[in-house]
Order: sequence, then structure tokens, then C-alpha cells
Amino acid sequence: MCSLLVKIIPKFFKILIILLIGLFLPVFAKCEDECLNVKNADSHNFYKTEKTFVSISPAMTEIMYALGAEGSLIAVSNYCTYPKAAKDKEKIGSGYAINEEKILKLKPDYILALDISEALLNKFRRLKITPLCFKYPDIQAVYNNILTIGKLTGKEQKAKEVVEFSKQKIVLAKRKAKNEGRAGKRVLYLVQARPMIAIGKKSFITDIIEQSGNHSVTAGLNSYYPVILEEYAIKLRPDIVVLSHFTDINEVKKFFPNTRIVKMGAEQNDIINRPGPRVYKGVEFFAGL
Amino acid sequence: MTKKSLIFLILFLGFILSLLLSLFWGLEEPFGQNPDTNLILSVIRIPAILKAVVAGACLSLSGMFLQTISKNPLADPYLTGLSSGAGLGIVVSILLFNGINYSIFGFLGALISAFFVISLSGFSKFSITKLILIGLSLNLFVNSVISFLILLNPDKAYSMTLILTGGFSSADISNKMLFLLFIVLLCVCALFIPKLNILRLDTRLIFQNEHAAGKYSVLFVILSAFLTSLAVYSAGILGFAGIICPLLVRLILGNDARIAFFGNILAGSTLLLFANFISNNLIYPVQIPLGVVVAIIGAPFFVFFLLKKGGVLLK
Repeated sequence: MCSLLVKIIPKFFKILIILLIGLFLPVFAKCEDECLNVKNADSHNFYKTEKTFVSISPAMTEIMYALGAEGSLIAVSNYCTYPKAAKDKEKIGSGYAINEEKILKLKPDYILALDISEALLNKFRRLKITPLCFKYPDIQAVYNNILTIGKLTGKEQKAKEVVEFSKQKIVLAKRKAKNEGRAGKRVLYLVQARPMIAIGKKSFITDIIEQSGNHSVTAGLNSYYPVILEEYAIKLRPDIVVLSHFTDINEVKKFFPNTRIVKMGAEQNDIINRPGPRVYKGVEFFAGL
Repeated sequence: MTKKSLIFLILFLGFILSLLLSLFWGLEEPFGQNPDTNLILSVIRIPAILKAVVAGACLSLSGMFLQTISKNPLADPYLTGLSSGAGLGIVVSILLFNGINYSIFGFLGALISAFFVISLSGFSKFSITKLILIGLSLNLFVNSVISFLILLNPDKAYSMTLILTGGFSSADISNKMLFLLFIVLLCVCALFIPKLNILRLDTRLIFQNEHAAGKYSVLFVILSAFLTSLAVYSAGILGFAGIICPLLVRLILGNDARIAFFGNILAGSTLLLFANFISNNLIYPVQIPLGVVVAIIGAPFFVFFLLKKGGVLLK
């Protein structure tokens, strides 16, 4: 028994030591990192007065232009097509395929993005480029994002004006729809027909539809873009089916032979899917159905 | 009643049960005049059941062919580079045509890639090892192209990954055409099935020259390519069903290809019908991707049978 222990214990010690070293290594590494950051921070931000931005989201680009802060926006993604002037900005790739080296060369202070890109952008923090990944569960959150960007760019007054304008437009659209008796419709919004993707509670398009005085029939589903059963969609008995611009209308007509089907244009689709300053136009679209 | 006919009876009852479940589960008045119910039955449920039967039978038959020829239980229907060819076809159709008729593109992509791999591995000097390796290389190559295309188009990435996992919602294909092709293919398969029994043995012992063995191997590889393309046409790319079903049938019905032929048709369609039923009803009204469900119910079931009576396979 004793001899067995003597044999085993040294082995355990070796493993224990290796484990301990393994545990402490990240601590050392972290320490070194922080030192580096402090050094860099001085040289990087000391001489700069105005902050610079890079946007990888079309909605964020729209906000920058709406605030009149496009001067500090040094690059945009390939998808940033509105307003037209955005097309002439420096391009840094699109979506998941962004050109990281180019961002490093441009050395912006902030990267503007939506929350889906967060995991992709967090590595830039180590290089003193702060990714700002905005959440957008509803229209109020979009307003908050506009106000936040307004603060960062020093255009607070303009940001407040943009938000106020949008709020008024939404109230007007809602009132008009109510007066003309168009409100209160049951809308089924489909992102795609095969497989059938609708919008759930967490999508901000649901809030756009609710704000317009209508009701999204899939608002009860606790998800962003749930894949729903076609027969569930039929049983919901919507008054109107709204399709994104790339869906074939005949595919959906099969399931809803007697229901009005509206297919959006490409620009309308952009407006509704971008949580930016044009959000009131989305509400106007649904209020006008 | 012998043991095998009892097993067949159970398989058949399972098939009927899954058929009835997927037809009538959750309908308020199945035979009433409710227009919604009629619409659901005619546009959604009956086509889906047809597709499930076709895809299940095709996948498991073609898995059986390839596993027998290669004498390797790991061979699956997509061995010949089919899945990647189909995937590329589907992705290209989504990018260029917004996914209209994507199942036809998948079908064509699958056939082209299979033909490419089979002709590269040689008709006269056919070798199954060469076929497997070339198919593997093509799969790796084309799959990286697909990943690249998906990453370049993040706005369609969600729908592309979703469609690539497979499912029965491709409502555009003509059911008559699908069923006709299926019946013709089954008849052709039934003609050649006895030859598969010979290929089970070491080919050098049976045939006068290896050329004859190679000829039949190529024939079965081509047949399985057609079967799998048909499965892609009806259900997209469904991994796993094509490996698990033939093995399961071998475990419960033995090695005779003539019996396993019918067993595979029944077992494959039953598996996909049940999987479709679960994917539709587990977290109603949200749909779970079919490929995910097949693997989740297939794997534990298979391991259970393997541990219980794995003698045939583990010899």
C-alpha cells in the first residue's frame, strides 16, 4: 500500500505543477496586455480632438448622415447605399467579411455596428478602437441609439430634432390611419417563404407594425426571426400578408388564396429592415396598408 | 409466422402509424368542410408526406448500396461528392435567383458532381477506394466554396444555412413528376437487387475477372447517385438518415439484400415521417430543422440496437 502511494504521488505532483502553471499563464499575459494599452492610449488619443468613426451597418451610416456628422465618418460597408453620398466613402467590406487591416490603417476611434456583429468586433478593443454594437429591440431603442451617437459626435441638438421629427411623423401617420378606418388590421410579415420565416416579439419590425396601429399576428412568438409552420400561418388568418422584396408572390399565394398579399420594393425593404432615422417611413408604410 | 415476417409487420404498422400521425395530428375537423383544413391538407401535409416517403426510401436504399459495395458501414449516400454539389447548386440559386426553384438546382448540382466523381474514378478500372477519396476531396473543396459564398453574403446567410439543413418546405416541385421518377427508379433497383448479394462477398472469389465485379459496382454507384439526387430534390441535404437506416435494417433483418431492400424502403420513410412530425410539433408553431431532428432521434435509437444485437455488424 505504502509503496504504491510512493509511486503515484510524484506523478500527481507533476500534473499539479503543470496545472498551476497553466492557470497562471493567462494572468501574466493579461498583465502584459494592460501595460501595452496604457502606453498606446497616450500616443493615440492625445493629439486628436475630433473622434473618427467607421460604420459597418447601413442603419448606422444613415444615422451619421441624418445628424450631419458624415465628416467624421471615414469609412462605410459595401451595403451602405443610403444616402447616395455614402456610396463614395471608403469601403471596408461587408457583413462578416470586413477588411480588418484596412480598419487598423484608418485608425478610427469607434466602429459603429449592430449587436449581431459584437462577437466579431470585440478583438478591436485591445487596439483602442471601440466597437459600439447597438441593440434595437423597438423604436424607442432606435431613438436612444440616435441620441447616443449624437452625444458622441457633438450633434446632440440635431439628434433631438431627428428623434422629435420621427415621433411626430409616427403620431400623424397613426392618426390618419385611424381617421380613415384603416387601423387594426392583422398583418403577417414574412421575411421569406420557403422555409417560412416570420418576425417574433424580439424583432423591431414587430414594434413598427404595432406602432402603425395594426397588429402583427406573430408577435406572440418569443424570438427574433422564428421559422414557423405554414399551417400555423394559415390558421392565424391574417388580413394582409407582407412579403420582403425577394420572395416570389406565387409561392405565398398558394397558402393564402383569398388574402391580400403586398410585396415590398427593394427600397421599402431597406427602410423597414434598417433601425435608422427613416424608421418613421416604415410605420407610415404599415399605416397606409 | 417467422421472426422476419413479424419484424416486417411491425415495420409496416410503424409506417402506417407515422403516416396517419403526420396527416391528421392537430387538425380540428379532419373530414369537415373547413376551408382552412382542406387547404392545409392539400397544399402542405400531403406533399410533405410524399416527399418524406420518397426521400427516406431513396436515402436509405442508396446508403445500403454504397455500404454493401464498399464493405464499409460508414459509407453514406453523399459519398460521391453529392451533398456539396447539391449545396453549391442551392446556394447559387439563392444568390442569383432568390431561391426560386432551388430544389431543381440542388438536384442538378448533385447529379453533375456525382457524374464528375464517378467518371474520374474510372469505368473500366473502377475502384471504390478511389471513388471515396475523390468524393471526399470534392466535398472538402466545394464545401469551402459554399462557406465562402455564405460569408460574403451575410444578408442571405441565415436563409442559406437554414435551407442547407434540409426540409420539406420546398413547395414548388411537381409531385407527380417526383413520384413517377421514384417509381421508375425503384423498379430499376428491384431488377438489379439480386446482384447486390453477390457483391457482398469478396469479389475475387465470385467473378471470373474483376472487370465484371467493377461493372456491377459502377452500376450500383450510378443508381445510388440517382436515388440520392432524387432525395435532394424532395428534401434537400439530410445527413445521417442514409447511414443509420441501412445499418439498422441490417441489424434487425440480416444481410440478404432482397429482404433488406423492402426493409430499407419502410424504415427510411418511417424515420423521416416521424422526424418531420416531431420537427413540426415539438415546439409548435416554431419549426425545428429536419436534419437536426433526424440526428437527435436517430443516433440514440441506433446505439441502443447496436449494443443490443450488434453481432452482424461487429463481426
